[in-house]
Amino acid sequence: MNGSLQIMLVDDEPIVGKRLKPALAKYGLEVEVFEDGPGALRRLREKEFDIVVTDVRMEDVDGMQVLEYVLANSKRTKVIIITGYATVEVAREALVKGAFDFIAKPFKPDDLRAVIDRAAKALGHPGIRKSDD
Amino acid sequence: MRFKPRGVSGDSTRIDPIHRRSRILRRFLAANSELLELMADLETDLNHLEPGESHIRQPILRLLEGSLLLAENLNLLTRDRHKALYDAQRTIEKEVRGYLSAAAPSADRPLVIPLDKASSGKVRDVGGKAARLGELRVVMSEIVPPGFVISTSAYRLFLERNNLHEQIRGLLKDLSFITERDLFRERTATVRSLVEASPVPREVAEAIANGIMQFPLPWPSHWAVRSSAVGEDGRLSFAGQFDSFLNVPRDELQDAYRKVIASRYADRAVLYRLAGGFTEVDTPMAVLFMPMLDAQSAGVLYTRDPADESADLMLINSVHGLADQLVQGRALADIFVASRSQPWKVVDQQLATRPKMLTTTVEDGGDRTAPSESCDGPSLCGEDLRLLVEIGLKIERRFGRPQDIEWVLTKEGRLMVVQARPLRTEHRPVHGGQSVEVRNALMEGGVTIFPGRTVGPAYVARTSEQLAEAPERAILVVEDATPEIGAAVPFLAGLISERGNPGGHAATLAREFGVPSLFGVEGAIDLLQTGQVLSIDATHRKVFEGALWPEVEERVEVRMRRARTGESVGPLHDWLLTLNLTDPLSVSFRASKCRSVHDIIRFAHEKVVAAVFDLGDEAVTRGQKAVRLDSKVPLGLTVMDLGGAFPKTDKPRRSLTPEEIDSRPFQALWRGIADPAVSWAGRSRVSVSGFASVMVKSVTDPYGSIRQLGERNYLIVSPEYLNLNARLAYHFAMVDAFVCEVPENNYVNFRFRGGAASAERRDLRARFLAEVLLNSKFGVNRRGDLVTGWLRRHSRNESEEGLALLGRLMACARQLDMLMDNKGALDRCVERFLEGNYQEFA
Repeated sequence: MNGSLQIMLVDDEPIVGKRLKPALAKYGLEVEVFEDGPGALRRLREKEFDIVVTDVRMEDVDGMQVLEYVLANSKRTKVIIITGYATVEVAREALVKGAFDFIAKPFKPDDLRAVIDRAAKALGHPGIRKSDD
Repeated sequence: MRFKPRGVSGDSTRIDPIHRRSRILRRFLAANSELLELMADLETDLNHLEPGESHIRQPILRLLEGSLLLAENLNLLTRDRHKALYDAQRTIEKEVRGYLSAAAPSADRPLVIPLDKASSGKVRDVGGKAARLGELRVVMSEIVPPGFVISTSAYRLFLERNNLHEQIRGLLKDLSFITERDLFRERTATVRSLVEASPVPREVAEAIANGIMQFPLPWPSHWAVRSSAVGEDGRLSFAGQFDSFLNVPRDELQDAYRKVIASRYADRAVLYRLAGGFTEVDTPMAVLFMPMLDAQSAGVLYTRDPADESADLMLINSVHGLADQLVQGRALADIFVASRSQPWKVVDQQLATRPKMLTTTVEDGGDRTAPSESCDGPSLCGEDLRLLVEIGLKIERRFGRPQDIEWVLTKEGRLMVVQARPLRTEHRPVHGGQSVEVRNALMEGGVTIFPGRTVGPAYVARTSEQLAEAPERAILVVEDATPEIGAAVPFLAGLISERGNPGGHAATLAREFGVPSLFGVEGAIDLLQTGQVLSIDATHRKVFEGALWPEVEERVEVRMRRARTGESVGPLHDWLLTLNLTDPLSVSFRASKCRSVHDIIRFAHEKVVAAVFDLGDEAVTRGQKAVRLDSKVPLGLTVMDLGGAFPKTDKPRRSLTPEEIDSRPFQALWRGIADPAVSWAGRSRVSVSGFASVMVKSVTDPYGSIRQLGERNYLIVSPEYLNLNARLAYHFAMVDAFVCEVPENNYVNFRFRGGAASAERRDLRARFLAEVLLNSKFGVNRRGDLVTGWLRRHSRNESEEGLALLGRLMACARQLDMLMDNKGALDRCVERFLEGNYQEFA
């Protein structure tokens, strides 16, 4: 698979997107950041992303709903769930609904990069490298 | 269908005895027919459903109730002469009800079972593969990876939630691979797409999640998903019949689960079940999930040489990377032959060259085939070989017999076992130390997969289509022994393949069905020609031209017959459907000998008919008792008058001509039977159910002996009524009709079910009848080989026409087996018959 990976990042804490977007862009990833579920869902209607990274706990529309929406509309998209509190229920639910993986807050940009790299490979992508490599 | 327990005693005693008798009899015959229909349905249901399910419970209870009603009616008619029938019925009912209540509803069974808890005691929940592996894991946890099983209950839940039972049954019903290959493929493909399009129920998805969550964090990201069917690895191995998926990412496990389930309906899997006599209930599907092992190399270990069990040798096949190419027969493996006993050593080795390996490097994203520089050397070295032999011996000791083991050597250098099943070996001593044949062999060499000699015509198959056409008793010649040949294997005389591994699925199947086979016979496909008669000595790896050993052909025949006959499908089948009372003349044809509902029905029918005849003697003082029908068409019929159909005479007569019988429906039927266009000439003794090679006992007839030619077949008549009943074990032909001037009262019923032929031919015969009837105003219902046709409320003329048609059909249908052997011939026969051209049937 060629071309840059299209990533959606959904987290209602603005700081998360602000920090992660530039960190991921360094790897040649095209990242769109959303701070609310409804906004993310609107965008998902327009565009198919390769990977969606979403916080699980959000107002209005939570991460599970985003996950469900994504997989109902694009089976190939990989969804990574960010959990602030890792509970068994959340994990089971995410597995049942077909999330690709989880990442627990707090995490470093590099941790997320590693998860995204795995998802990219599962998509048949050679994996991500720093674009200036 | 309902059986109202309205006893005969409810009728007024003032009623004319003739009418009373007639009514009892008609009611009895109706109930009898309904029960037979229920049994025909149940026969299919028992193959598809678990006894706990309501689909099966309801008809069983109705059958029990119906059999009690028959017993009651019989005893009312005979003034309690057959009271022992009550006891027999009670015993059967008690057994059946006990069995039903013990069959726990599947809802109570767990959906996920950790591999550690899967053992042979849970084989119905976890399937054969998982049960053996689970057992090994308990005793040798260091060599068996952990995992979990999604149980057969989950499988049933999946089918139930998606309403797949009925749909699948509908699609697979009456399917013939022989006459309608395209339709067969189309239907199985439809079933698979139905399964793949069905959502995995929430509970099952949760069960998979729970299975994953039993692993410590971080949960394994890639998994092997394998079928583990009940019955798999048992009597027959189902080798390669179901799909396994390797390197499945965690978020695609539900998809993989569905695909494994769908693979249950792959063409070859469905055919294999048919060929092996397996039923749907025998083989529900569990699915085994195990984290992927990062494989350095993998392969198959036979703890004995399958071709010669007495040799003190183990056989090891090994490839770099994963073993799936190997077991699919697509990759060549390194082959090592090692001694089993001390001092341990490799006695022979044969290294293969391979261009590719299936990588399992999880970091690489898995399922891709990539060249690897490590392919150059042997895929297994000294110390690991030795360890593998030790593991093999250990597992063999555990299960008490030679094993066929799938193993993996991880990149960390650990040897792991991912599958173990009994190895089919041939124990018989190899005849003579050397081949006694002096004549020159056409070909020599290759690897013995299953030893022995065989004779048959060669059939060279280069394409899948040709493979599907492979005739029975042929020696199949193929380029590659892929699992695709599985469906053909049971019916082959022999097998020659240019490629293919002794550790592959095809090899396992060949051993299972005892088909003498040679693999690795180079140039076979070009040298050998379809139709050329060959003799193979697989033991000595020689192929000769011509039929060298005629006695061997017989053995092939016996083997094939065995492959075709299924076994009892369990206690319910025994208590409900098995017919033990097959011979009404036998001393054991007694009420107390009834062991199944079918026995009760059979017994009651015989005795009710006899009782009605006796009653005839009592009630009609000056009338006729049963008489012989005297005609040029020698049907051997005994006719009984319900009143008014026989001429009034002073002296009882022993026989009557058809013309003397005053019965409208009979005259109409007879018009057809005696139609000059349909010839009965030249047949000195023809059974009344001429339809019916039913008179001929067949090797596939599970019901044993049946009424012999020349025994009485009953015809019961009154001026407006006719009942012709040639009832032969489970196979019967029946015409039941009432014809008068009032269309509202008129009916003609016809029912036929015949054995004494292969399933294919029975099927064709049933179709012929169904199509002719459908084209002749009859309503028709066909279930398997039971054909029911009816005319209701037709005018007198139309009803009589219908009866005449049945008469002609009886005359013609008897030749059908000889005329029809495929769909084309079937269509032609139907056409001819409907045109009124009966020449061909003469």
